[in-house]
Amino acid sequence: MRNKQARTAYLLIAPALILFIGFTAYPFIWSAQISLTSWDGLNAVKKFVGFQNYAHLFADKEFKQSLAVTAIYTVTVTAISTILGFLIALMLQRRGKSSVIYRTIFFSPVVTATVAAAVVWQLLFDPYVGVIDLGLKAVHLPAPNWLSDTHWALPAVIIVGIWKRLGFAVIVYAAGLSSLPTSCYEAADLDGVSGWQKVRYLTIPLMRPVTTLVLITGFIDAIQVFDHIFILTSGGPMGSTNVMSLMLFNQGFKLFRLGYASAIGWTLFLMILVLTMLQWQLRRRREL
Amino acid sequence: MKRSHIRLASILSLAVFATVSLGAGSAIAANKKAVKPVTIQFWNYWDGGNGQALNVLIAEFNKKNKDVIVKPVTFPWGDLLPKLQTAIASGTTPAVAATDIAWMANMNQSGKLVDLGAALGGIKKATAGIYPSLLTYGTYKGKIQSLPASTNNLALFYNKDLFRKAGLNPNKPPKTWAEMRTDAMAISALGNGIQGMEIYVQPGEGLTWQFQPYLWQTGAGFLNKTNTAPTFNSAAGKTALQYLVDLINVDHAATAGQWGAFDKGQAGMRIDGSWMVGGYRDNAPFEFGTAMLPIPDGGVHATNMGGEQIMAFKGKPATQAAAVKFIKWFTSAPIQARWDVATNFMPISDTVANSNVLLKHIADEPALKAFINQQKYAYARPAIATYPAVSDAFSKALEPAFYGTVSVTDALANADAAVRKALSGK
Repeated sequence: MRNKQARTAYLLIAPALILFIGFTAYPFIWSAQISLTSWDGLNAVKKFVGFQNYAHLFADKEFKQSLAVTAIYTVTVTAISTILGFLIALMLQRRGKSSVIYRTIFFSPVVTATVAAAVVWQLLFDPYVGVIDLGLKAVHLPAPNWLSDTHWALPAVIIVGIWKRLGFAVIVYAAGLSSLPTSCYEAADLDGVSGWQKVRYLTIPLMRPVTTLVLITGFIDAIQVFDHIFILTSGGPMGSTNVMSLMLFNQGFKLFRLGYASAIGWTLFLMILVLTMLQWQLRRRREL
Repeated sequence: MKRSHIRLASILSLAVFATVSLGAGSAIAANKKAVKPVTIQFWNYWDGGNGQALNVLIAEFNKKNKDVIVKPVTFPWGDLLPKLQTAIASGTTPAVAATDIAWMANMNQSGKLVDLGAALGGIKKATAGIYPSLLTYGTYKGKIQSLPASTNNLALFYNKDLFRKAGLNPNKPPKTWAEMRTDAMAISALGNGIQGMEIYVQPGEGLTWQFQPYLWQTGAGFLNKTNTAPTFNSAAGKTALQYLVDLINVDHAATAGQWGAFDKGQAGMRIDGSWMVGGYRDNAPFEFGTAMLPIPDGGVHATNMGGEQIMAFKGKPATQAAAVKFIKWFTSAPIQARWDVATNFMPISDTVANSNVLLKHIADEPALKAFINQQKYAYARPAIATYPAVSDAFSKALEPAFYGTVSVTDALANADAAVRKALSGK
C-alpha cells in the first residue's frame, strides 16, 4: 500500500521534477561549469581557466562600481517601497470598500510589462518633451537631464523601481492588516491608547512576519534588476546605473565573455543566498 | 456484339482504366515527392520597413521555388546574438542567419558555418563582383563562411530648418571640421536647449563606430595593420578627440547625453547611417539634408562601414542545400538591387551599384548621394574575435572625456592601455 502511494506520489511530481531538472538544475550546474572556462558562447572549444574569472572579477573596477550601484539601488528601492507600501496600506485600511479601487491602481504597475512601462518613463524623463521636466520648469525649479546626468540617472531608475515595486508591498501589507486580531485594538481603545501608539506598539510588531516577507522578496527582486535600466540608461552615463545583471548581460552577450558572465551570475547568486539567510536569521533571533 | 467481345472490351477498358489510374497515381505520388518543400528558418534583426521589404522578397522566393519554404524569424538587434549563442551551444541553429558584421569574427570560430565557397562552386564564383573589403568578415582560414547581405556607411545628416533659423545656407552643409564647428555654434546659439551637433557618447560599439571616422580622417587610425596594437593614442588621435570634446565642453554646441535630440528637431547635425534616410523622409518633423562627413584641414575622407553578413549553418544535406540556394538568390545582383532600393542600404558590388533599378532610386532619393559617394572611403572595422571587447574598453575610456571629467590626453592613454589588455584577451 505504502509502495503504491509512493509510486503515485513520484508519478505526480514527475512532470514538475522533469521541468525543474531541465530548466533550472541543469542550467544552474552548467553555468557553474562555464564560469570556470574562457568561452565566447560560439566557439566549439571551452578553455578551462579554473577560478581565474572569479579572481579577475574582484580586481575589476567595473564590477566594483556595479556592486556599489546595485547595493544603493537595492537598499533604496526595498526600503522606500516597503515603508511607503506599509503607510499606503494603513491609509487604505480606513477607506473601506473604496480601497479596492486604490489597491487596483497601486497594483497595476506590478502587472504592467516592465519594458513597455520603461519606454513610457523614458518619455516622461525626456529633457525636451518630458512631462516631469516641463512641470519642474513651470514652477521654476531646475529640470535635470535625468537619464544623461551622472548625478540624476540613478535616482531616476530608482524612482521607476519604487513605482514598479510599491504595488506588491501595498497588497501584501493590506492583506496582513486585514487579518490582524481586532481584540488587541479593542483593548487598546479601552486603555485610551492613541492612534500613533497603536501603530507603533501593535501594528508594526504584529506585522513583522509580513515585513520580513516584503523585505526578502523586495530585496531579491531589486538586486536582480535589469529590464527597465536596460531600456532607460543601458547602465550609463559613466556606469552610474550599471547594475550587476546589466554587467552580466553585457559581458556575456555583447562582449562574448560567457565564462566571465557566468562568474558574475554565480557571485550574484551567492550574495543573494547569504544575505537572505542573514535576514531569516535576524528574524528568527527577534522571534526567540 | 458477341458476349466474348463484350467481355474482352470490358477487360481491356478495365486494364486501361487501371493503368491510367495507377500511372496517374504514381505520377501524382512522384510529383508530390518531388515538390515536398524543405522548410528553413532565416534568423535576422531587420524590423520595421526593412523587415517588410525582406518579407516581400522572401514571399517571392517561396513562390518561385517550390522545393524550399523560407520562414523569416526576426529578433530585436540585441536578442539575436544571445539566441545564436544558445542555438549553437544546444545544436538548434537555424538554416540561415544574417548578423552584424561586428560579430562575424566570433561566428567564424563556431565551427558550425557552411563553407559557402565550396557550396557555391568555388570562392571565385561565390564572391564574383563583391567588393573585397566586404569579404573580410566572411573569410576564415581560407574559406568563405558568409557573404555580405547589405552594407552601409555613416554620413552627415543636417536639419535644414535649423540651418535657416540660424542664418545659415540650408543648401551648403559643412565640408570641413572648422565649418562644422562654426555651424554648430550658430545653431546652438538659438537657445532653448537646441544642440548644434549631436554626438554619441554612450559607451559601447555605438560610440566607437561613430568616433572611428574622425580617427581615420586625421590619419590616427584605430589599430595597426596586424590588429595587434592601438594607433589612436597619437597627436592626430588627440586632435580628433579634442575636437568633439571642445564642441561639448568649450563651445557648448553639443551635450553629453542620450541619443535622440536630432530626431526631435532639437539638434542641427548628426552623423548616422543611410538606413535613416527613409525614416527621416517619412517622419522627420523638419526638412533634412545629407552630406559627406566633413574632414579636418589636411585630412582625408573616411567613414565607417556597417552591414550584415548572411550565412548557412551546418545541418541535414537537404536543409543545407536549401539554405545555400536561398543565400545564392538573396546575394544575387538583381535581388540585392531591389533590397537596397527598399532599405536604402548600399550596394555590395559594382553590378548592383550600376543596376538601372538602383540608379533610378538614387536619382529619386538625393539624400542617398552622400552615402554612395562615400562608400569608397569606408573603412572596415578590425575583423578579430577580440574586437567587441576592444571596442567596449575603448568607448568606456573615452566617455569621461566627453563629460569633461578626464583630459583628452588621459582618456586616450587609458584607452590605449585598456585596448592593449583587451587585445591580449585578458
